Amino acid sequence: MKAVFHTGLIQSWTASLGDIPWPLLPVGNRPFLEYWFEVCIDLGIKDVRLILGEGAEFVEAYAREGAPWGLSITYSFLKEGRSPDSFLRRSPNVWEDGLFYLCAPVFLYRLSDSGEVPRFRGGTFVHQGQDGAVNGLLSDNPEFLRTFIANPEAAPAASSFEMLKFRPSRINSVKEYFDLNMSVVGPEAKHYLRPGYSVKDDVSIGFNVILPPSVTITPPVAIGNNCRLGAMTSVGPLAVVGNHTIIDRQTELSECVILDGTYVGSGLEIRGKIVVGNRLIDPGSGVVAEIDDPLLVAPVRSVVQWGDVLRAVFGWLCAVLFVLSQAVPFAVLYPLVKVSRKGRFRKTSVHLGRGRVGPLFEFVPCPGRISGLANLFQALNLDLFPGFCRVLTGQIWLCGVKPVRSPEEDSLRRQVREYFPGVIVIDTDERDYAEPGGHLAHALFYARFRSLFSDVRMVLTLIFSRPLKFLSAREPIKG
Amino acid sequence: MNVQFEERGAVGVVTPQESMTADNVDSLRDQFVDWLGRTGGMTNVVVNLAKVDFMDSSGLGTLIALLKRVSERGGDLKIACLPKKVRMVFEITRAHKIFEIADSVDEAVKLSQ
Repeated sequence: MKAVFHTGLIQSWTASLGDIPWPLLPVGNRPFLEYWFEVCIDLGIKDVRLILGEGAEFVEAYAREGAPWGLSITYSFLKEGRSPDSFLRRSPNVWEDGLFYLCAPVFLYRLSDSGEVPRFRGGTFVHQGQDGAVNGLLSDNPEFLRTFIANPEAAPAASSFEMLKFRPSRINSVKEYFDLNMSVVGPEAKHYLRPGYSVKDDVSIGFNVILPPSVTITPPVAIGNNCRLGAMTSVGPLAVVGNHTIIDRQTELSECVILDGTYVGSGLEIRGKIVVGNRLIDPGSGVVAEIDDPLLVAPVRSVVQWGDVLRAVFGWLCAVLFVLSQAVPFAVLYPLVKVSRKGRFRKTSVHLGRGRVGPLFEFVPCPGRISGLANLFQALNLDLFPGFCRVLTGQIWLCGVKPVRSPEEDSLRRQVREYFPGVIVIDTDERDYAEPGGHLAHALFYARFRSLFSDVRMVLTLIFSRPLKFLSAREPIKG
Repeated sequence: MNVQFEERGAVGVVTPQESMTADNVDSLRDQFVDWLGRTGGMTNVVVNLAKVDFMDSSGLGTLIALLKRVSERGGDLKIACLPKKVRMVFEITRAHKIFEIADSVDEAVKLSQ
């Protein structure tokens, strides 16, 4: 039997919870995804396939090959615009031995008193959402699986997960996420919380936690690893404190979730709220307050990513050199190209960096009029001159992915949290971008593997490849 | 900082027009002290926070300083029209236990009379 988990589907409700991908959002004192792995262990499933999307690098870095859970985890990417079950259809025979499939953030509550799962003795169990769509299934019936994979809506009725002593619950909002935490850390904590340093009397405390004697802990409470609590702090009841958090002195935490890497200032009272970095969330109303005051709440870790700072400096310096060296050739050649109607710049509205939308000039050679002049213009990279000027303003990166058009590709932009629109793009072949899911795949790929080294390589490729192509073949230059 | 001051009978209404942060609260405090000095008999004050979309610890500290100054004259300072985001800051700092908070300026003025 194999397990297939979709972790890449965008869940809009997680936007206010920061940059943590939803599979890694903490529930109790560990990530959501780990509860799925535990169910696999209980069901005797070792072969797990994770379908990645947004936040792929974080999910992969966390789960790796699955060794900590005794699982064998492999990965695939979610293709843009495709339904989750389309992945199963790519090789339908592979799943006929049995399939455990989850394609939404569904938490499987354990219904048995001991929290243990009865041995799986075969059968088919399905969980459907309120809209009738299948959120999860477990089956070893090849006939059912064949029908389901071919057409999920035509699949015959099946038993519910309750028969297996599970109660699936899909998380659709911040409020439901908050309630899940409160129930997991509540009276049934022993079913869900990982022991850590101590799990008795409904208190789970992780490793390397500094607890002065004056701290008051009122169960049930879950405290993660590497935390520091100040003197006279009061924690609980129903408090979830994530990893790498600092709670300053005389602060009271109850019925709250403090996400990983958060500092909570001294003398505060956090009740009925979620705190993530400098963000305060009221789960009931959904109101989010960004507090730019490090005396109250703040992220513990530096938000500056030094790799990106280096890339920005490198890109800006290169753009200065490009602009200085291209200004005269551009001033001479572009009027000639335009007057002879060999090509022109087209203004396109695109998503720039920092959430802005603005125009970008894209060179379009006139069809049927490709000539030596237009080729020379592109061979000298003069078609990128307006883009290099834009890099100087800091609105776009020198190297990155092809900017997403607005409003045509707004949905694509929403699927990419780490977005690096660039003048020099990772793949200049238009066909790759035009392929279904191609643009998203490029954006995710670059976000995952971006580095100063890759940017240097892209710049060198640009400088040498086009002139060489022009000199050797005199082919029309694309891109 | 742009602040509006008005008098409704024996009650003064102070309306800051922007966020109250470390950058601008000194100006609010100075203008308030000036205005309070000019209105000799006024004791009760309502601070209308309807247009304040963010407040940091300096803003809260200033409100507490204003409360102290008004209390010294035998009056009281009430808060009106607290936006949801600022209310959250009040809740975590327990400032909502220090100030009397009304839903509207009219209600706060009525309570102050």
